[in-house]
Parts: sequence; C-alpha cells; structure tokens
Amino acid sequence: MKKRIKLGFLLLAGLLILSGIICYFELARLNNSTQQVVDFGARSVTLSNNMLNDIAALDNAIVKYVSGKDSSSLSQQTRQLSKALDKTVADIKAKYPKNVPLDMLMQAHFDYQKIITQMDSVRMDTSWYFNTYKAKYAELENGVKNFLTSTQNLVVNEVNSLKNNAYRAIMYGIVTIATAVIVIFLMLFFINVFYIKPIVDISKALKNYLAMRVPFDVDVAAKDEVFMLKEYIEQLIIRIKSKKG
Amino acid sequence: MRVYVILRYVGTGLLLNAVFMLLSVCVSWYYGKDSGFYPLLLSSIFTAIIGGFPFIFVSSEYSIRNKESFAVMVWSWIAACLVGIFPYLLWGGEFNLINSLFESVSGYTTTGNTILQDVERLPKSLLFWRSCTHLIGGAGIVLFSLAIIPLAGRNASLSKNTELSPLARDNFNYRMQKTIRIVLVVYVVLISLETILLRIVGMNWFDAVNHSFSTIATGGFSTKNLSIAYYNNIWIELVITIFMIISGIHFGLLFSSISSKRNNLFRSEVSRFYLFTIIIASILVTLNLWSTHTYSFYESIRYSIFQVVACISTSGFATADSSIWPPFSILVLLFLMFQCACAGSTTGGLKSDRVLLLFKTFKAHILRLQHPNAIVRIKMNNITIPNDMVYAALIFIALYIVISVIGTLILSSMGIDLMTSFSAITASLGNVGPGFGSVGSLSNYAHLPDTAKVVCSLAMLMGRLELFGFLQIFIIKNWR
Repeated sequence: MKKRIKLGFLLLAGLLILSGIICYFELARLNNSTQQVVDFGARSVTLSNNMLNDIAALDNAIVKYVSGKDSSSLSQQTRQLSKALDKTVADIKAKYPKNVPLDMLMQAHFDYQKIITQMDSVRMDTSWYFNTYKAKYAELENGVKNFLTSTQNLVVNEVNSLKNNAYRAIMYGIVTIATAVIVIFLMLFFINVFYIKPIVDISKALKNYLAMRVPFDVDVAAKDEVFMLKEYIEQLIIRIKSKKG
Repeated sequence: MRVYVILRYVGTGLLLNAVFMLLSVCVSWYYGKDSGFYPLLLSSIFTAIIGGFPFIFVSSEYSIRNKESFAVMVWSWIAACLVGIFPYLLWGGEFNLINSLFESVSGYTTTGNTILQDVERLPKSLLFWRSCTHLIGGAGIVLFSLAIIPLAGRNASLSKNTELSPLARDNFNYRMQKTIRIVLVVYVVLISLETILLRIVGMNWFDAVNHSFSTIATGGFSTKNLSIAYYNNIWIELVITIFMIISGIHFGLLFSSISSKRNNLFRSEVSRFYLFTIIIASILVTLNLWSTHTYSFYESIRYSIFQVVACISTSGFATADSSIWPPFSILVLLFLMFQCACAGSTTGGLKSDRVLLLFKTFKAHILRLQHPNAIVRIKMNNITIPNDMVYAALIFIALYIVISVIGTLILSSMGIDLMTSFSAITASLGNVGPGFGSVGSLSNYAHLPDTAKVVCSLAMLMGRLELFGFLQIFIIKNWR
C-alpha cells in the first residue's frame, strides 16, 4: 500500500516537474526567438540608416564638388565614406541569412562603387552627375530601401511564426498539465476504491457489529494491508466469539 | 462493474498506443529528426503514463468479466481517440483542439476524413502516426489489448460478440485467442503483401507502407493531397482496388479460405452478395459516366471501379473527384456508403450482411402475404436466422437511418448545403471518409464549422461502435 501510494505521488511529482521543465524550455525558446526577431529588425534598420547616411554624405560631397563649391577634399572624403559603405555592405553580406534577398543591393553597390573609383579618371561636371552618377545613386538608394523592406517583411513573417510557437509553448504545458490532472483523478479514484472506501466500510461494519451484533462482512478489493486488517478483525471476532462460547 | 479493472485493461490499450507513437518517433529519427519528433516523443510519454498508472494500483490478479469486457472495448476506443489528439495538438499547424479530435477519431475509427488542407506539409513521422491510428483502429484496440494478456475462454467470448458484428458469429466461431491470432495473421500478411506489391508497381517504401495500413484497415488516409490520384498509375490503382475488396471480406472467412478448412469465399452468401454489388454498381456507374460523356469509356471503367470499391469497402481513397459526377452515379455511391462491406472485416456502415438480411426479410414478407399460412424461414448460408437476430438487424438499420437524418438536420442547421450535410454524415457514420458536395473525394472537412466537426466525430465513433455499443455508455444502469 505504502509503496503504491508513494509511487503514485512520485509519478505525479515527476509529471509536474516535467511540465515545469517543458514550459520553461519552451518559454525560453520563445524568448530567444522573440529577441532574435527584435534584434534582426533593429539591426536592419540601423544598417539601412547607416548606408543611406553614407550615400547621402557621398552625394552631398559630390554635388559640392561638381557645383564648384568645394574642390579640395573630395578624394579623401569619398574614400572614407566609400570605405564605410563597403564595410556596412560586407557586414550585411556576411551576417544575413540566405533567405534575405541581397542581389539588388549588392549589384547596385557594385555599380555605384565602380562609378566612385572611376571619378579620378573622368571629367566630373553636371552632365556626368545627372547622366551617369545620379542613375547609379538612385539604384543604390532603391537597393537599400528594398533591403529594408524585405528584412521588415521577414520580421513580419517571423512574428507570425512566433505566434504559432507561442501556441506550441502553451500547448506543451497544457497537455502536460492535462495529463497530470488525469493522473490526479486516477489516483484519487484508486485511493478511494482501495483504501478510503474499505477503511470506511470496515469502520462502519465494526461499529454495527459492536452496537447491534450485525455480522462483520466487508468486501476489500485488493490483497494488501487493508485486506490484512479486515482479516485480523475477522479473526479477532472469531476469537472473542469462541472465548465467550 | 469494477471500474478499476476496466481502467487497467483500457490502460493496456493506451500502452500499445504509446508503443506505436514511439515507433513513429523512430520514423522521425530515420528521416533526420523531423518536426514531429518532440510532439510524438512527449505524446508517447504522456500516453504511457496515463495507460500505465492503473498498473500501480490494480494487480494482474483480476480477471475480466463479460460485462466489463464490453466496457473495456468501448472505453478503449474513446480513450485512444483522446490520447491520439496529443501528437497533432503538440505539432500545431492546422491542428487546433477540434481539428485534432476530428483527425484522431477519423484515424481510429478508420474513417479517413481529414481536416488537413495540405497533407504533404506534415512531417513524415506524423503521417506515419496517422496511418498507425488506422492500423490500431482497424484491428480493434480491444483485440490488441487482449492479445498480450492471456484470457480465459469464458472471459473472451463476450469481447468477440461485441467486437464483431453478431451476424458474423455464424461462420466465425473460434475461441477468442484464436480470433486474435487470425486477425493478426490476416492483418500482417495482407499489409506485407500489399506493401511489397505497391513498391513493385512504383510507390516508394514510405508511401507503400502508409497506404497499406490505410487500405487493410479500410481507412483512407493518404500521404498525398490528391490521394491515389496523385500517382496516376493504373497498377497502383489495381493493387489498391484488389486489397480494398479483400479487406471488405470477413477476416475469418479469408483465413478459412486460405487455410482451406472451412467454407471458401464464393460459397458464402454474404461475400457473394458483396462481390455481386461491386460488379453491378461498377457497371451502372461506368455506363452512366460514359453515356453522360463525363469520361471516355476506358476512364469510366477505371474511375468507376475504383470509386465503387473505395465506397463499399469504406476506404475512401480517390482517383477522381466523384462529387462532380452525374447524380445517378452519386446516388449509387451513396447507397454503397450505406451498405458497405461484410461484417467481420474492418469496414463500417450497415454491412452487406444486414442489407442482404433486409432483402430476404422483404422477400419473406411478400411470401407471407401471398401464403398467409406458410411458415417462411429466413436463411443465410443454409442456416435459419432466428427472429431476434432479424429483428435486431432491422432495428439497427432503422436506427442507422434515423441517426443519419438527425445528423443531416443538425449539419444543415449550420448553413451547410443538403448534399454536403447528408453525405458528410453518411460518410462519417459509415466510416467511409469523403462524401460529396464540398466534402468530396478530393476535398476535406477543414471548412466545416467546429460544431459540425464534433458532430461528424461523434457519428464516426457511433458508426465504429455499431451504434448500440456507443449508446450503451450513456445508460448509467448498464455500468452498475
């Protein structure tokens, strides 16, 4: 009896611990996934912002140079800005997953850098600016915008899949708890059938026997300590009867 | 009735379910630990805990009584349907609670209805688990439960009476242990044979195993959205058609025919009637499809035979969208969904035995009207059928029709069109699978309201438990 009840409780405890572990594991996973999505979105915005700032600064410097307002430091300035842009694009290329469409950005960046590197060998006037440079600049700007849009779309998709993951995280916990509840009910039922009810019956039967000499007749399902108790009481009654006789 | 003894035996059934879940986990492992791995592993653990818990308190010394064996059978089915929800629910996707329940009940009752709009999105392990539910349901959970526990003959006899249709008893009077052996032998042999044949004619091993489970259990779950139509392979259709026909025949009769100890297939009046129905229905549907220019003559033969066999055997596989067929063909198929195959097989519905008995009762009644003083006996296989058995069969048919009508009314009240409502209930109650209208052979039940799915699930359970088996669980007096 003791062993069975102990085993039942241990199983129940194990199930509840398992439920806790699963919930913790799933929620931790959900937390990580959420953090990743947030980081991904924020990083995309920062990188896009950096790129747009870099090309805007480059464009500004070139406009000043072409219009004749500033002709001294273009080469050094463009080299610095171009390096910063290169670094950002290389960062994107290295760190972003394959499902992020980078082709448009990479091609636009390649074409734009080509124009920048050729600046020393061409005559930079307004005609060059509007006919050659401006088109590549617009392409790169579109490339950056496209990168931002596609990464944000991915964030939306990730958030939708997170919704499913949240459902899963909850469902694992619910199913484990439901199992624990079923086990609790089963345990209650078995304890009632095998221990509580027989003891109550024995007590009642003994009370009736002592009060009104009603024959002691109790049905005990299991062959355990409660059954032994019933047997001992029966033997005791027989012994008392025989002593009296 | 000793509920604790029932719980122990139901627990045995659940442990067997846990074993099959574990088998699906192995499939997941084999296919690179797909997304079904953890849901199936945890489901297996939970099912084993629930199933194994009664073993702590209830020792093996308690043998089961006749009345209890009936309760074990009914509750094993219900409990299996409930724990069968776990893998779907934990996997997520299209499975919410109602959808999981529907899919689980559909699997265990070997109905083959699905709520999945995209079956192919499911991981292979979960597809395998779906097919396993057919396998378990087809063989009968109680048969599995009792197979591992040696039971005394007296105890086992009632299980046989409840598991098999009463009409099947005449030519299937083996002892329970032998019954179990026969069912398992026939099952394993047929599944193995079909798997090998399907592999030979072009299916891959995974699909072949899954479709064999579905065919022999007369379920209908497929690993493809287009069911058998996906393969567009006449040889695959031929193999499946043959095995669908075989699976609709009384398993004891199949066994006795192979072992040549008892009456063979063509000497049994019921199997003759079943095969005759297939031939007549196929001819009628072929002519109808051909005459209405729905298909060419060759296609009419090909599609009509497959769909007729799929409907009568309650497999519910599809090679064509029969919901767009002419009304006459649909009516023939609807009749077959009511009649279904032989008792003692894994099919559902009224069963050919009862329909044949009904026709014989009509004939006897006409004879009595013509010759009021004549003593007219109703015989099947030269055995006089007692009046109480005829009465029980007629009551069953009447109740079956009443439940179909009530179910149709309930579904119609939810705004579902009449054809869809009627065929969905008929297909669910008969454990056929697909119906007509928006629940046609190439469609699914996903779009039905949740309440309709619950109603269909109940109809599937009622059909599987032969109506009275299910209804008796609601009679409290019965459990005392």
